[in-house]
Amino acid sequence: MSSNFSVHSIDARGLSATDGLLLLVTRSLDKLKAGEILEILSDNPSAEHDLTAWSRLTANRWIGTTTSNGRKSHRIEKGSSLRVLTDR
Amino acid sequence: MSNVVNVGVVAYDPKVVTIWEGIKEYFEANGVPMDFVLFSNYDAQVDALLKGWIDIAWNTNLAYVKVHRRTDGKCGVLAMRDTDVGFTSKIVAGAGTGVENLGGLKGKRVAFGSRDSGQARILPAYFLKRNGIDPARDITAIHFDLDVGKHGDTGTSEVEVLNSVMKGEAQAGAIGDQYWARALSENLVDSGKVRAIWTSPGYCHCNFTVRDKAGEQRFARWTDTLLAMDYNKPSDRKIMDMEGLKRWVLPELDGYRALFEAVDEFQFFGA
Repeated sequence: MSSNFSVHSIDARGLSATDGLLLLVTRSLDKLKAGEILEILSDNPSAEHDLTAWSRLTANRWIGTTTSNGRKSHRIEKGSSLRVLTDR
Repeated sequence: MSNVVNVGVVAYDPKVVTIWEGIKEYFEANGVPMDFVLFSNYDAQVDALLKGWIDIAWNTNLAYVKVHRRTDGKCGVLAMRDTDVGFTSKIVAGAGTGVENLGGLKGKRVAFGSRDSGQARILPAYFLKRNGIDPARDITAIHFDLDVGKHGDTGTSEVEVLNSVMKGEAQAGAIGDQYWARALSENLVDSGKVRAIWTSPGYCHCNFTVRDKAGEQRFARWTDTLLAMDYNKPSDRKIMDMEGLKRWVLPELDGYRALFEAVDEFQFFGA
């Protein structure tokens, strides 16, 4: 279960999906094991819509968005499939 | 009677042949002989399935709903991709249009994909109506009817929807989440010009449909072989990457409810 894993957090405020957010999330998930959770702090109003679509496409599991003190954080659980950069 | 399982597939792109040659090889290597039959459109594939010319049809959600209606619900479903579950449609809006939520669409020009695209036309229109926006009265709809017959598989109409919003011809548009995610990943989107403002509830997309429920048992070995495909094996991964999945999964038929309601509401198959 995902709750057995610790949560890793990144600050992506100021970034939109095409201005580095997806790159930062991809690189951060690469460092995690399957089942571990990445928390993304974001102030981009589209981030929730973008990250849900991106998570499905990349076989990671979208957990949801929470708001605390006006700050949004999004959570994604790392999927079990490998991200393969090249096939040699 | 031949023991070769014939699977119908719509050739929406040349890569379909490469994908299905790979799938055929995979099945044969696992002792389950199969072949594929190409169709130019989903209506022809549905007819072929119902006439028994093929055993299994790799159907879009709309083609599945059509088979379901024509068999009075007696058809069966074998499997789908992990990416066919929880599919959503997005409403994207242009910067400076003032459209921040669905309510802001009223009186605006909104672009939609092909008339037979579940993700870019039928379901967005259905969900908008459920949210108080009647596409026939409350907005000016711009329709990109491209590659009709292929149920939006080619993605060309979604490309046009996004372009029209980025160019400001439409103030908002409806596209599938898969195209949106790809467009973001491949930097085809200028975040300064367009952004997503709404995500629909999840629904299901493609599945392997058989004529009758008994087919689920008849082709159980075929389904088991399909489900055993492993993304972590390089030879399987090549096929799965091209077909856009990480795992084949058993069907989740609840995910078609919205489309059944939508085709009734818009009388898609006639009154």
